[in-house]
Parts: sequence; structure tokens; C-alpha cells
Amino acid sequence: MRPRSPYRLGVHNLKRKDDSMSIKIEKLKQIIEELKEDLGNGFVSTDIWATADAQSLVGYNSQPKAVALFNEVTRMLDKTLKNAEFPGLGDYYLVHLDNNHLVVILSIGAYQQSILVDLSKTTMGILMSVVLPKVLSGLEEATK
Amino acid sequence: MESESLYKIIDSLVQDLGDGLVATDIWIDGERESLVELRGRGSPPGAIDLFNDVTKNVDKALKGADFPGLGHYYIINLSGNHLVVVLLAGSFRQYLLVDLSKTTMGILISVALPNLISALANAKAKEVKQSRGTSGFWKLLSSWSMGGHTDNSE
Repeated sequence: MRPRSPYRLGVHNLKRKDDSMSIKIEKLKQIIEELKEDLGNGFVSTDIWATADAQSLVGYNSQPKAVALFNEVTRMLDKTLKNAEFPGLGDYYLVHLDNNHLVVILSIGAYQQSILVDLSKTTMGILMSVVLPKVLSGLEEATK
Repeated sequence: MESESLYKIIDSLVQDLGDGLVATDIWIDGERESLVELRGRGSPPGAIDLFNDVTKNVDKALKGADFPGLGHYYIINLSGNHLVVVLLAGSFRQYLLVDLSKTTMGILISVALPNLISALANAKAKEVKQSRGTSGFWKLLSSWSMGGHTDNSE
């Protein structure tokens, strides 16, 4: 019997009707494989989505509710920072959780990615110096 | 005196981050006034109200997504190679605006953050609140700025 794929593919087309956004799904799967390798047991879940839809395109232990809510948090952050004369939102933000997990939200162009990390099973060094730069460049490449 | 412990927190933060520290505020959860602030040139005003709102919204989103609540901090990468760090330690809240072209993520994450979280956890919010009226405390704070302004005068 063929093993069930860990990836959950959304109904989003590879290329949208208006041709304004396109994404390489294979590249997104590669990003997830690399996350598994780099974070090991510290890797809990991830989702990649288009900001306009807030629906996961590719995920691992996908969390649809979190996708919808963090999509809103990103929008709120960008708006409130700009209104307060701060520089606009950059490529990512991190939220430390009560149970020593960390949520990382990356925002590249019209797409976002969430990564949930267990900090008791990996280090901030791996996350910040290895994973983040790699995922950011992977997302850029996938959305070119 | 607890106000001195906040002063020391800022002092060691300046030592850790050097010119990378653009601005910081320490305040008590639910309040809108700064206990200690440091303002570098170009640091935007209104940070306390802003990050009280952001903290509330992030916490609401986490709960809505069935995640555990907010832990000790959140970090926001800003355009222009700057970062905002918001720390939550007991009753204290602290915001830092950091210029990453003048310090490193390693110093921020591995040195400054753990130092701050532990120092804030050891400070006693109640006593600090009571000591706010003492003129010596405010004189101390008003002399503490990085070329910008402090407006803590009562």
C-alpha cells in the first residue's frame, strides 16, 4: 500500500486565473523537506499560504485555523507599525509561546509561511542562522 | 531600591547592544506610562500604546488557534534592517528597537535577551510603581537619553 503523503495540497492553482501570482509547489515541498532535516525533532508544523486567500497551499501537520489567524496578525502588524511611524514589517516575526515553542511567520511578496518549532529540541542558533535564511531564499525562489 | 534595578537593566542593555540599541521602554502591564525609557534619534513615539495593542492581538490570535499563550517575548523584523523585541516578564513589559547593522542577532538572542528576561523577572513591579513619585528617580531617568529626548518629567 502506498504510504500517505505528509503534504496537504490545497485547492489553489499553480497559476492563478489573472496570472498575477504563481508559485512552484515542488519548491515548497523541498522547503519542508529541508526544515525536517535542519530542525529534526524540533520541527512541529508548517503551512505556506497566499495572503489573499489565507488557505494553506502546502503544509506539514497543517493548522488551518492558525493560518487564518496569523494572516490577520500579519495584516494588523503591518498596518499598525506604519500608522505609528515605525518602519514597515520586514520578512518575518517570531512569537515565543508558554510551552517553549516558537511560531515563526515569514512574509515574502504575496505569500506567507508559518513554522512551529519546539525550542527544547533545537536551538535559536540553528533557527536564526540556518533555517530562516534558507527558507526566505527558498520562498523567494518559489514565488519568482 | 527597585528603580535602581531598572536603571541597571538599561545600563547593561547599552553595554550588550551598544549603538545597536535605538530605543527602549519599560512599563507595567496594562499601563500607558514608561517607567524607564531611552530614545535614540529617529525612534518613533507612542511605542507603549502600540505594543500593548499588538500584544493583545497576538495573544488573542494564539488562543483562537488553540496555541499556548504568549511566552517571554516576540520579535518583529522591520524593513531597514531593524528589529522590535517585546518582552513579557511578570508584570513588566519592555520594548526594544534594535538596529541590526550595529549589532548581531547572536548578541541579541544569546546575550541581551536572556539577561533582560532574568533581570526583569527579578525586579518587583509593585515597589517600582510605588517609587515613581520620588523625584530622585525621575531625575535619574531624565538624564538618561541617547541624543534624543526623555519626557518623564511629572
